[in-house]
Amino acid sequence: MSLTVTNLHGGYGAVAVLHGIGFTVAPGEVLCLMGRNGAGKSTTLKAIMGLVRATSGEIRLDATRLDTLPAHDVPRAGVAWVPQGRRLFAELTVAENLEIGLLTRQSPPEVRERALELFPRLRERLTQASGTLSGGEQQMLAIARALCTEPRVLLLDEPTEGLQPSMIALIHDTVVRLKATGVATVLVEQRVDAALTVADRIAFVDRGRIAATLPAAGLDRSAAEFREWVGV
Amino acid sequence: MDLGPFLFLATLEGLVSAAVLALTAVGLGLVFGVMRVVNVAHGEFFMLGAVVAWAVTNLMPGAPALGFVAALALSPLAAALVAIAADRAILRRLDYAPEAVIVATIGLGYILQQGALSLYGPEARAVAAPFSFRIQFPWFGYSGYKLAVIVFAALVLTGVWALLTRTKIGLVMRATQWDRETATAFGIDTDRVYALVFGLGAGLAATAAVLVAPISQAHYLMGGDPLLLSFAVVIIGGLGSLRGTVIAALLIGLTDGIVGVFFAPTLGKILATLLVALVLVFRPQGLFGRKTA
Ligand SMILES: Nc1ncnc2c1ncn2[C@@H]1O[C@H](COP(=O)(O)OP(=O)(O)OP(=O)(O)O)[C@@H](O)[C@H]1O
Ligand SMILES: [Mg+2]
Repeated sequence: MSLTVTNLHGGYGAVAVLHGIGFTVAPGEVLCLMGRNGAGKSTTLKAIMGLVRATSGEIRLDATRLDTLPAHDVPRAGVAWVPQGRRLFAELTVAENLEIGLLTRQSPPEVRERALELFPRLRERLTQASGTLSGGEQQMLAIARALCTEPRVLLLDEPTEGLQPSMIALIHDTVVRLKATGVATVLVEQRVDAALTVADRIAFVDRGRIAATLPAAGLDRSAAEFREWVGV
Repeated sequence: MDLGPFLFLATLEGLVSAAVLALTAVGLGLVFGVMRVVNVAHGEFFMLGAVVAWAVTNLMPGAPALGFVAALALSPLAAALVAIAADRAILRRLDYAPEAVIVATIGLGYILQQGALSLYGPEARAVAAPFSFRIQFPWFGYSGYKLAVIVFAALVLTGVWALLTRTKIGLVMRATQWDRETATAFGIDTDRVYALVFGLGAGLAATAAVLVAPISQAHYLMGGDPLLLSFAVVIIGGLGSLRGTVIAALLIGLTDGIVGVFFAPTLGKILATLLVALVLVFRPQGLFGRKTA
């Protein structure tokens, strides 16, 4: 299923953060959102999840309007979120975090097994409180928990933040694998190299707007866009 | 009576107060733990439970035991429904802002209290116990009903524990408690979870009150003490810790019972208060609470 965001406005209470965000992600495509701190990347993902109310604009999953749904119906429609900072249910065990994912769309246990095949290390820690996992394991769990909802659209907010290189590679590898299963992915990523390897297209977010959307193939790491919109 | 049997009697009395207190305090603690709001009307839900129990046992024809069993089912249900209505009509609209909820539940408690005064009246009325046999120990006879209260409260608390740790709805409640926004992003209708928890909290208070009604009496002002003691228990036990709440209830109930029997009831209250003060000063997160979150 495709996710289409059109002219999205929204923010926190009286504070407007998004000023007309728009993009489309097709099945099997990875769209990378890049931009400076505070540009509104995370807020965009939260607005898609219905956690930040859209004051105008539209969010559609194929033909279904998401922005008019109650927030808890958005994941049930097939959109999963891997939040910035992971936000595991830290006091719950690994197995319980995954169970919350399964409950979202009443998925069968096989779905959990498939998620665990991507991250075998989690299988050894099913009864451990998720807050006591290492940073890399926590990120694996955050992704596995999202996959337990059998998403058609996956929103990943800086999933490699604070991780060591081998773990970053594993996460990006996973994104590529999921892409092959036809999931539409929105990835917030600050690393130019990573974005260029994983993304099909890159959308530059600047002060709540999409400044430009370009195919990753047409960019290299010294492209002016990165300096201008990401500041690297 | 010798010291040994006397201590045994005092312990039994303490266990009865502890059982009732644990049920009430777990209700308050659950609401605070999951919803992060202080329900100042909690004592009035307790009172509501006793008053409804009186009404049900008096309206119900037939054996007193039958009426009591009906009260044990209907009183918590009535309290839960009132609580759920209050959650929808008031707390949700306040977006569960902590200060606003304190003020609102003070108002709600006042309404419940005055409502009881108007409909039920100012009298303290006895609720008949479902049975009245005495258990004969070598040294004294003891109310079989009071022993049944201890057992029943323990069963209900075990049920709450099982609900929280062994069921899907318990898992959903714990996830909501930890991070409401993320819970929503996993399809959990947290408004419904909140309503359920608020209803459950009131229902537990009402259950405690039904149990205590044959021992004390039903009166429209009876909610004050349970509220204060529940706060004491929740502070001592540590917020969000079921185990801590039960242990603190035992501590306070037993202190109150034993010291009350041996010395004076007032001294028991003083000691309980002292315990709260000590915990607040030296371990503000409670004996079993965590420092953060
Ligand atoms: N809960 C909130 N309440 C009020 N303002 C917020 C809230 N969360 C974010 N903001 C503001 O919204 C703006 C956009 O924040 P957002 O988190 O979307 O940025 P971002 O692009 O994800 O940045 P980063 O790269 O640092 O993660 C910022 O100015 C931020 O201060
Ligand atoms: Mg962000």
